[in-house]
Amino acid sequence: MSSKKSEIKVSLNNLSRHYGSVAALQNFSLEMKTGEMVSLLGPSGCGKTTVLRILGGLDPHHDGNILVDGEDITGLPSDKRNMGMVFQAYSLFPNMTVAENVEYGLRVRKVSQEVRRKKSMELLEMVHLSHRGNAYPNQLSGGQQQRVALARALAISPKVLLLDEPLSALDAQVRVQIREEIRRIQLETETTTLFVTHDQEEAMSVSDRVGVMNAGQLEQIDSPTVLYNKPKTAFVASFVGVTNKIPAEIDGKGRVRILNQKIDLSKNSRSASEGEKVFALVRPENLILSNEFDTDAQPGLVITKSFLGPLTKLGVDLGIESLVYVNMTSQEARKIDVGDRVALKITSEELMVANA
Amino acid sequence: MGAGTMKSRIFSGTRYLILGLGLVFFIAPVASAIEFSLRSYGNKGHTMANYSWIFQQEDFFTNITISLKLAVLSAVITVVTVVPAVTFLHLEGQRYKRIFEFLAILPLVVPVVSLAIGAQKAMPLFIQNSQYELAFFYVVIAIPYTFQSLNVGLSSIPLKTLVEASRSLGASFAKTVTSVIVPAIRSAINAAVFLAVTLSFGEFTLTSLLHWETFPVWITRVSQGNVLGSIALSMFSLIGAWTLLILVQSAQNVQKNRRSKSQVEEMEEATA
Amino acid sequence: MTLMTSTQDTTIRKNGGVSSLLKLTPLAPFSLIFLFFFCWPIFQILKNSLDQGKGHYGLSAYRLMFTKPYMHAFTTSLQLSFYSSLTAGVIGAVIAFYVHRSKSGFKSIIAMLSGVLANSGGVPLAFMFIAAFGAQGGVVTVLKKLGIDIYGAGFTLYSLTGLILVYSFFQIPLMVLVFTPALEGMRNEWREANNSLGGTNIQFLRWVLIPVLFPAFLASILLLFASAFSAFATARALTGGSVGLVPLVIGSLIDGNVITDQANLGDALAVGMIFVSAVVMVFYGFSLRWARGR
Repeated sequence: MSSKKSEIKVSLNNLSRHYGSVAALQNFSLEMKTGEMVSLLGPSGCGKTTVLRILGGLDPHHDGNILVDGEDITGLPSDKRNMGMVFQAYSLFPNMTVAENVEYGLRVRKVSQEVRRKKSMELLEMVHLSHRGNAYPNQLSGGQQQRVALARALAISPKVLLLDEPLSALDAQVRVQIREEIRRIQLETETTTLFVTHDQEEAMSVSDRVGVMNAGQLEQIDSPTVLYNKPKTAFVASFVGVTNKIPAEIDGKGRVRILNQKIDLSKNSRSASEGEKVFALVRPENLILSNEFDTDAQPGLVITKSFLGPLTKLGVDLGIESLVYVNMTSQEARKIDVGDRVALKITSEELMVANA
Repeated sequence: MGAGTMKSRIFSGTRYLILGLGLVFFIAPVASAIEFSLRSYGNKGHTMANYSWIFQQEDFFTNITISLKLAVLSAVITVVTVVPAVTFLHLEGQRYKRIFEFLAILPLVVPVVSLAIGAQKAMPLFIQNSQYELAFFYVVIAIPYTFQSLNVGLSSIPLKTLVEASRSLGASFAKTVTSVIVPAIRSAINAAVFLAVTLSFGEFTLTSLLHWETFPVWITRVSQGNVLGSIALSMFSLIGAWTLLILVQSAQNVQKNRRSKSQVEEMEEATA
Repeated sequence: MTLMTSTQDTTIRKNGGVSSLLKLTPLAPFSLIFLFFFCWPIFQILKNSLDQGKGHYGLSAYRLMFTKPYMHAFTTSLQLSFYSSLTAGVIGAVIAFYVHRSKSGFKSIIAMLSGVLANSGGVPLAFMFIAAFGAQGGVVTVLKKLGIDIYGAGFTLYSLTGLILVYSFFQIPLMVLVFTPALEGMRNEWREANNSLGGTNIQFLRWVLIPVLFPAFLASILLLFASAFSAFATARALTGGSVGLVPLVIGSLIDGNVITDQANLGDALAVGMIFVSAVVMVFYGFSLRWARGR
């Protein structure tokens, strides 16, 4: 852990952007440390791509400023920012070979042919495509094209690497491979990276920190584990990971009455008044099923059973509007069948609630 | 505020300049020709007399009628020949598709003048004596466009899947043709008909070299000796053609927007 | 088992011949019309061009075609096609470029207009230009009032230059029509990638935009070339016979205005025209493939 790692590389301060009366971004602030990989996660229209494009200088912003390495780059055009960008698709120049594409940034900087060629070969090695240097983009698969795009962006030794949903256009299996390669290369080259995606599994699996965005605002930014276990808002809780929404009632005294149990309210839930009807957000792995019908267990009927490999997901009808999903290991789930009557209990010690 | 704003400043100025110049280049001849056509002999100011002269010509209606008849005939022949052929090539005859695509381009390669010379001497007398031979030649000249239009139109719909779905639901081949295939390619057929009609109406080269008189040929003949009248006639025919084209294209656009919904409805009805 | 298969085999084989031919019926009307009204006339001109009467076949018509007056017609035609397609091509490409960057409402209006204007031609077009650019024409008069005397400077509508002007009226829209799809295939990501990698606009133009668009540009120009080369009506209405173009020469031969001792010179010229047109279309095909290849 060198002290270099704790230096702030990028500082986005109070950025906003409006389209007429619609605010694509509101008062957005973010700091990125050198060598860190930060993901911005959220539904379409949440503003995550806007942040990336503003940082890259491709879109303008109103208010706020951007500091990179301590310098204010707010007015700087995109060709002077020295940031490497990888788009969702189609970004390779079709009239140049793979090697020529990778060299492009260096060619623009008037680097000599030999040096360019050497650097592009190095980078193609890094993405395992050095044998396709003379191919044209349309001869490559989607995954290969994105790897070339990555190499091309890294060739200019960028201050920040900007990835705009680079995996969205790829097949599921290829997506997993490429995201791991991106992470590997990012760590190897110690490049500060901003990764935008709507796929939470992607974001959670490769990032140092994940920022969840909604309607132009950053709701929470934390490491993946903290984000998952300690969501700060109901939106984050339901966007990250799967969650059940079970109707409940506030019991005063900071507790909530849900099903047949009384559980403490999570510190992060907003303050609520007694008797108020809310939804409690419970993760499937925080529910257990048994055939012990205690007083605080809720009886229910197993309606669906889905085998997911190591886990099995059971859908239980508790007499409320939608099925409640419970995850258990497939070993344990062997004892339970569709149509069984079961007893359900929540195992969290504190709950997050949201408005009805 | 980033490179984006700077670029658009430089570009939008030139954009209006270029597009403005372009507009002037196209409007100038039209405007001045219209002005010309409204002149009266002896510089007595402007008048519509030249336009009424058009309609006073005895052959005006005869020739418009002939051109109309030929246009309709060409449209019918096109539909009867090209539509089944292209549909077949997309269904069962896929291996012949490339050959026919190549053949369909050939009339484009052959200048109409050359075809005219060939047509002069090649046709047996009974054909040479009927003005309706022109319709068949118009169809041939239009083939590159009509074939292409139908080809592209058919490529854009999942024809094979539609036919297979219809058959598997129990429809006979005849019912499939009328209820599934024809509605699906209706807009492509319309486009092909439109192309055939436009071409027939405007065709001059072959018609005049074969010594037949249709509306375009008549325009030339009747224009000798009356400069103002000929200009009026030309403007009438040009602007008339343009107006019709614009109307048809706008109607097509409106239909295209409505089509997506009705296509689904039609399919549901047909297979009910 | 074997018995069944062999019966099936023979059944298939028996129906194979007749039914597979019957299956091709949808192609029959098209093929018949095509053969009779296209292939047959073409065959006739090929045959007639070699026919020297009394059963002799030879190349004398072609030999006559290669002499000065007729070769001059070819060169004039080629010049006209070359200059008009190049001028209209460049202008059309520039206009298409600016239209491409406009809003979609404007784009569809232009698309419709281009389709309409590209269809103008023949006699009405010629007369319209006479009315505008003839010696007494409207535009000429307006320019005179502004102090510009184009006829005094040597311009005349009834010349090669005049024809180039008239042809542009339908060739520029045709270029816009044909070239726009290539522009639509351009991706915004390329320019943005160029910018993020540090490239200037000029570098982008030189190294990406122009190389990518050139094959399509070439293909479009060749199409313009072919259409200019074959045009007949407009040229005749405008110039009568004063500008010697091959289609017009053929027209005169058909009309009997020109007598030569080679009755089938017209056929030879027609074949010559087909040849030139075919060469242009072959290059057009190659350009298209080049455009699609990358």
